[in-house]
Amino acid sequence: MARSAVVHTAAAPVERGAAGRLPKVRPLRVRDHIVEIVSDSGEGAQRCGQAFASVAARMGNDIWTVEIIPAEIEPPPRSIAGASGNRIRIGSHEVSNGGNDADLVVAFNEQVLLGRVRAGALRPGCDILLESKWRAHRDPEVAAQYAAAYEQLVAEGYRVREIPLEELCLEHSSAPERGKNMFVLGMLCAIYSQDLGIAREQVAFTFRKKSDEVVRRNTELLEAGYAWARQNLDLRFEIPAAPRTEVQVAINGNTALALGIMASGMDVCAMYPITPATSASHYLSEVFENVGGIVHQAEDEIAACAFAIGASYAGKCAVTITSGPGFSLKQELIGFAAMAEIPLVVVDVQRGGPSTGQPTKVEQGDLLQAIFGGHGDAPRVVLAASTIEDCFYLPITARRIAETLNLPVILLSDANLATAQTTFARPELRREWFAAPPDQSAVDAAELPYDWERRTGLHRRLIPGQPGGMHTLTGLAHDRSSAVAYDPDVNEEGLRQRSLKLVAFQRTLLTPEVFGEPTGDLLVVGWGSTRGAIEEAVAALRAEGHRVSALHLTYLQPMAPGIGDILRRFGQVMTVEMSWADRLADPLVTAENRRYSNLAWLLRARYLVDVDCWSEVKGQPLKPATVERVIRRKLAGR
Amino acid sequence: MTILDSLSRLAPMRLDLDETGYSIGDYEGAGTRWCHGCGNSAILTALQKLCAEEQLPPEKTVIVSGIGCASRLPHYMGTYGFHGLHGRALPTAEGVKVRRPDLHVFVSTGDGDCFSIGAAHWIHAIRYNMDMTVMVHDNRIYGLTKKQASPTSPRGLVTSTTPRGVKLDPLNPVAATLGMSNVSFVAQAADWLPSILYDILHRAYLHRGLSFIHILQRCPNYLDDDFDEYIRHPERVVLLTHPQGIEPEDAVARRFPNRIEHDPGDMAHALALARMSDGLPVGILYRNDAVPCYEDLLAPRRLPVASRIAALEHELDRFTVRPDGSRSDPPGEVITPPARALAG
Amino acid sequence: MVAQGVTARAGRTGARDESLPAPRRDGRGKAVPVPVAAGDGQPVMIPALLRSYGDLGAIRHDFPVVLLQGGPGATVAPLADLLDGLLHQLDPSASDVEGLRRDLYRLETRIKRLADAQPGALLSTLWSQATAELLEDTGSEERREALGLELETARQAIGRDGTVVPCRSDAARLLVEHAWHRLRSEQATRDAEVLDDLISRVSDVIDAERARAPESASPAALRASMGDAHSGIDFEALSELLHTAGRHERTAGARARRLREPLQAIEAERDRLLGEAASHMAPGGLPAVAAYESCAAALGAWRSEMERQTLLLGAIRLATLELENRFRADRHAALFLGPDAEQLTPEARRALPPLLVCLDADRLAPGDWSALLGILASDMPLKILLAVHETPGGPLARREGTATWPGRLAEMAMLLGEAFVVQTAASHLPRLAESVTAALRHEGPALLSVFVGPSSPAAGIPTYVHCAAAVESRAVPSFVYDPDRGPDWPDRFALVGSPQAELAWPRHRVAYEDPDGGRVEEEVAFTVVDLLVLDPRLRRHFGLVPRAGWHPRMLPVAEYLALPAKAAADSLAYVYLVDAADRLHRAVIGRDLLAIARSCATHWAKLQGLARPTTALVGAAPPVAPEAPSEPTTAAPEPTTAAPEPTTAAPEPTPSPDAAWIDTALCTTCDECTALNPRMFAYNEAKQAVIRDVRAGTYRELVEAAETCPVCIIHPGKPLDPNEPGLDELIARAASFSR
Repeated sequence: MARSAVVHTAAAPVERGAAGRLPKVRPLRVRDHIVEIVSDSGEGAQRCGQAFASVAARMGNDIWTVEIIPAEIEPPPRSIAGASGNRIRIGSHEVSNGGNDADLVVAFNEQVLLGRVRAGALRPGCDILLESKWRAHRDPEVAAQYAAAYEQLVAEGYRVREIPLEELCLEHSSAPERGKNMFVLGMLCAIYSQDLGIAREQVAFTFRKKSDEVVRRNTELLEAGYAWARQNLDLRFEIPAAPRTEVQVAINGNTALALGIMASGMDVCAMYPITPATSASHYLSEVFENVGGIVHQAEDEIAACAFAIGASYAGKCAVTITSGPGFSLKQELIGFAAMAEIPLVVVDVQRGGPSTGQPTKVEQGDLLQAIFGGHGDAPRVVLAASTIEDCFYLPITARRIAETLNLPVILLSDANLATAQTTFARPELRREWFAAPPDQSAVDAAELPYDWERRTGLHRRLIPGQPGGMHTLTGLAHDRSSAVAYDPDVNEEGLRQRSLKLVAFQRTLLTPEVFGEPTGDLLVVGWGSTRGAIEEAVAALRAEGHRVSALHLTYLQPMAPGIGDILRRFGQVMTVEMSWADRLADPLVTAENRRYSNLAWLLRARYLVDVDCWSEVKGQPLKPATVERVIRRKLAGR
Repeated sequence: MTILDSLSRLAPMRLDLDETGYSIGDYEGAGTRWCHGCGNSAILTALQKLCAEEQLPPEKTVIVSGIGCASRLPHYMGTYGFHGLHGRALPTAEGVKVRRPDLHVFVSTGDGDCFSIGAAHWIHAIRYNMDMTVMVHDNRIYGLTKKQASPTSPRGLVTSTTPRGVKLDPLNPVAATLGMSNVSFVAQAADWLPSILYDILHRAYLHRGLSFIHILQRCPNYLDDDFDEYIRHPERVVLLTHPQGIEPEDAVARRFPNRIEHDPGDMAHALALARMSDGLPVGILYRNDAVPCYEDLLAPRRLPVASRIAALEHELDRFTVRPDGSRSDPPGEVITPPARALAG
Repeated sequence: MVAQGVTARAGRTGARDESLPAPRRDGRGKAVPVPVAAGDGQPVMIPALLRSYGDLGAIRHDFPVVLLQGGPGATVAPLADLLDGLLHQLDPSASDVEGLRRDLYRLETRIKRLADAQPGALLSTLWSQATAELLEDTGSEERREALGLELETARQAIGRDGTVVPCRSDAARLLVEHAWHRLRSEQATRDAEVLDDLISRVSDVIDAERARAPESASPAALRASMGDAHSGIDFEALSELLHTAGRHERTAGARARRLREPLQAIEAERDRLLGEAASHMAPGGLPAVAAYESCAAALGAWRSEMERQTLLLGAIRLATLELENRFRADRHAALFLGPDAEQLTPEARRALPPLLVCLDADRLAPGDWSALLGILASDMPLKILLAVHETPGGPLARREGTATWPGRLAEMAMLLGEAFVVQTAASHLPRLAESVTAALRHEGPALLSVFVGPSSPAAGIPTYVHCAAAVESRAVPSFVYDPDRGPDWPDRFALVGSPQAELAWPRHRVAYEDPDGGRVEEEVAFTVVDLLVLDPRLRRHFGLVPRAGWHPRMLPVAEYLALPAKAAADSLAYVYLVDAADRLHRAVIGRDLLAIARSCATHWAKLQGLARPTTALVGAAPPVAPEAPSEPTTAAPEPTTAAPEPTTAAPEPTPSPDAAWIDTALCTTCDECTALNPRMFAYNEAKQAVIRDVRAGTYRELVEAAETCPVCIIHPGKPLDPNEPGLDELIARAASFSR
């Protein structure tokens, strides 16, 4: 990437077969490198990428991996849209996002490679290692496609190295098309000077559920790839490890969510399959029973939410996990939970919308429905995870808030966090996180189910099993004894008390810290998974002396105290988001009719500050370089 | 044996603690707001009688409902009640039961609530077969919203939404339910046969699994004479009797002379009865005590926090990366105590 | 013959046939008289019916038994049963089954011999020793290999291991103690699980209470509970908020305090039980759980145990009350104060963990007899194993006449209280294993009175034979008295284990060859006399009669006893004996022995009277409740497919047409009539309408009520007030309701 870019020692392409060993290559030190491994789906590029990332992490590097996922499950082979694989960013410093352009690409065929080029994922002139078997393919058309693509890439200045991957694997495996991903893993370990021993352990771990024979064969391929690269490649990098002492975990956002849910003491999760949320439920289903919990796959999204509410009503807070479309379906029940004041945690792993939109791609379009969705005034707390570490800790916070305030808490994540993998300090589990068992003690007959404390709206929840607490909870307007309200004042009191809970809670929030100086020319405000990219860009610009800062919000409803003051300390304020906003460049769009991106709406409405917004909804994770470009333009007043 | 028995011998003590047992009055809640002459009252009374008969602790009893006239029932009970959303009574009740198998769960729902907006849940609730008693008050009309057609409205019925008469034949809920997999208890009752309704309700409560009771219920306001053919011509009602089913008392037998001995274990005969065109079968059509309950297959376990944490550490180990580059040692098995009790 | 089941097997072993082969001939085939016993007390004569028991090693019977370790199901199994069970699993048509059978029986014989030499040895050990021996005797190499493999496979197929116990005088105690350990470890384990669940539920109550306490809203507690650094929350502020909201009661903690001690007590007991379970499973059980040797010791232990248990039950009770929110300080505070036996109901006392006492009738401490009776009459779950040595001949042998003997204690016990009683002999104990376990499970006292052979056995007569003979001869009737089976004697009492219990004496065939070589067969009863022959001290009561002296008025004992006294006077009773040379003799029997025999017979007849008919005897099933007759129906059976057609029942009776009435059973509680006139109409306790006061309203109201009643169950009858306006019209309207 730009700042850590390095000038390559111009090395002549290798003539294979020429007298064996190359002169020893001195590894090139880099701060930060991005590698992509792409193939047709099912060829194992993903597994190779995951393994390589883990090896790097265990070498002490910071890592961030992004899954490259085709839209279909089985796209036609060798199709431009079919690229499947992994992008791995490795750094000496803290890595908080997928970065910009790839510095090195390994491709199993030229078409998926072209797909990545079109997606603008590659750094111009970057190194490419390309499976060369297609050149001599028996189908002349395939061979021709390959030749053409090769010519084009070379012409565009990419440093393409053709490698007969399968041919090389043949010596070690009867099914080279299946084993070559481990061969490539070996090559990468050699190129990035990774420890072969750790790589071997990694292979053993990757195939831990398979037979020893499988492990042995793949280890052999790994070693072969490593040796071959050492002998035949002039590429060699070294990314010094960040000095680190504490134990880390390397996981993706959805796994973190599942772990966080278990650590929060919640033990009922009701869900309905939907992308990209489901992988969290997959993992949860696998292990939840070990901690005494269950995953209930309901007949539909609505049933899942009702089931969770029923479970919450009768005991500890329960959780339901979904994505955009399912979230919309749950809105009526979320409103009910707000009305009847039942604690509930709803996790929404956002994806592209509206409607079915882009199921596997990232977007931040659900913020407004998270806060305002459903009919009538249904107060709920809305939190957004901005890092994978948040994905672990926020469910614990969410559960606690839900049970303290007796209302639904919505936790937003997105497709980017869900599938990206990084490392963070291994959590130290605390028994206090685990929800206390439900209170079953008898209650005084005088105690009312909605005994709202006038200023805060807080009250003690009475649940089945408590003698003397019998009442019928209802979604109808009701009074303090939960009796159906026929009196207009009673309805208004209920609305007031439920709303006051948010007011009271808002006063317990800490003002978020500004990234950079507390004042300046421009404040970039964001929420959710864009944090890494925004702060990396801001840091770079500040390094150049620009007076720009960033503010990232975790609590979106209610919003922490003091945010208005922060906004007013900057010359300009803009949000950077991944939800749609009209482009002023479009001829008909004016400041008056412009529709802003989600957060911008909220800030403008709440703080009466003229907050501008920039948004990108390509379904791709935001790149620091893009944010950098946007900020430069904004500072330049264009 | 020893302590188990000592514990079971403590049971009688519990009674000596309730100075008096529970009476019907203990199960009365707010005064009913149903129209005079509404069949729901009979269902409410039957339920309150059952609670008193079985001495169900009011705090351990939950009535879950959706939206509609039938769904107001919980408000009129002295137990815990959950007056939820239109169509969602069943999934809510499932959540309650899976979390608290110790609670007695009843569902009070209507023809619109269960067979129309909640139809998806109806099918799957039968499949889950959780231990609860489902009372569907079927008055063949939407009452609360003032006379719109319901899925069970008779063909040709003129309603606010079908001024020229309902064009389709009505749904046959009993036949449909009998056709669902895992079905374990299906009965048909009528509000104007209170003693039979009670017998059926009692059997349903005692059955372990989901007991589905289709209750024909008169709506004096919008469909006044709908069931008159049966009320005025008692011989059109066919009582299904069996030692495994119900055996009506004489007062009833006197009025409703027609009886058929029907073994609730006989699915083929049950289906034939459900489809019978002349006459109204009342009684227990089907019953199978062998169907497993969902909450027995999948329910939270009470685990000490210590063992929960141990299990989680074991999970974290799978993803742990140590600064020295080593993975954590292969995690050992997590020990969890055998006790499989409900988790609050 | 003697022990049930042995006959059956004897054939299979190919051991000698029990019926007597012809006595060997001495040239002229003339029987030569010989003394009944040699000087050394070694009997040279045994009852003909016991003849084939000379070499027990060659006969398959219920000993040795294997005390099975662990696992569910049976606690003991005769070695023979284990092997047969294995053989039964095999497909009999398979070619090599017979070969295997032969090898296993050879092995069995060896194991028996080895077991006699090594008390307490494990089956697995003896098995391999025996195998080794067999292999040594096997010539060919490959045969040896095959045999070794075969036997090893067989051992694994049998699977279970355990101590092998031969029939010695200590066998009874070993069997009972084993059953005892197995039972107690099961009970202790299950109880520990129950307590474990209780503990976790009580802990939940305490945690829930803690969560409601003000401390749980302290900034520190809040920070700890929220994943701190990441929560973005000001915990000071939140804490303040929660306190102003006053959701946290000051009173919290009272329950937790009340529960602390009981919880500790329950936890301690859970751990103790787990420990006990373990030590019971340890081979032979550890001293901690050993049996008591005297009533005094047992009673002492019992008292302290009861104090502990009372405390525990108090704790459990208190915890249960709290869990059910039924704790009322005024009534229950005292529950967990201290050991107060008064708190225990008799049922609860019976259900407390039982103790085992092992006594020997010949070595009872002076106090023990009365203590014993006291225990058996009480509701204390003390289980007493009484080893008995005395037979009816004992007093006679000691020249004390034919007085009664300690064995009769079992019969007394049946009358004392609700004790579970088993009487049998060691030889039959394996067959009564289930009854033994039942006795140990029984809530309340139990007596296991077991005849284990004479204290000074005659040389050459194995204990097994002596015990078996005691049961066979009705000297020690084998029976079970189980108070849990029902209220009446026939339910409770069964002559389990007594052979041919429907007869006065069990009968068996004897065959021999007369001097002319002809085969003679007789059926002979096995009487108490056959048992007494085995007691060398009684030899003077027998007199041999040479064949020449045999005459028609010599009768077998049984027939002799059956005669009326007068006819008996001029007859002689004899018993068949065989000498070492296998020659058959008749010995006439002295008066005293006949007296004993007669009393045994009458005693046995009494017991028969108490028991159920013999068909229901062995392992009688618990009484079954008669099936409820299904309601007769007026409907004809319906074809299951076609839609059924209704049938019509009897016409309904018509109530008085004059009085107003409501068919209350059909009321749907619809509020119509009660709304119309609540003074006239009201609901009964079942919330169904009745006429409260017919004079509280007008006839018009009555008729209107009838008309509005949706289920038409109100019948106005005739008007009470003839002056009410518009009556004619009303009566007309009422007509349709007054059928």
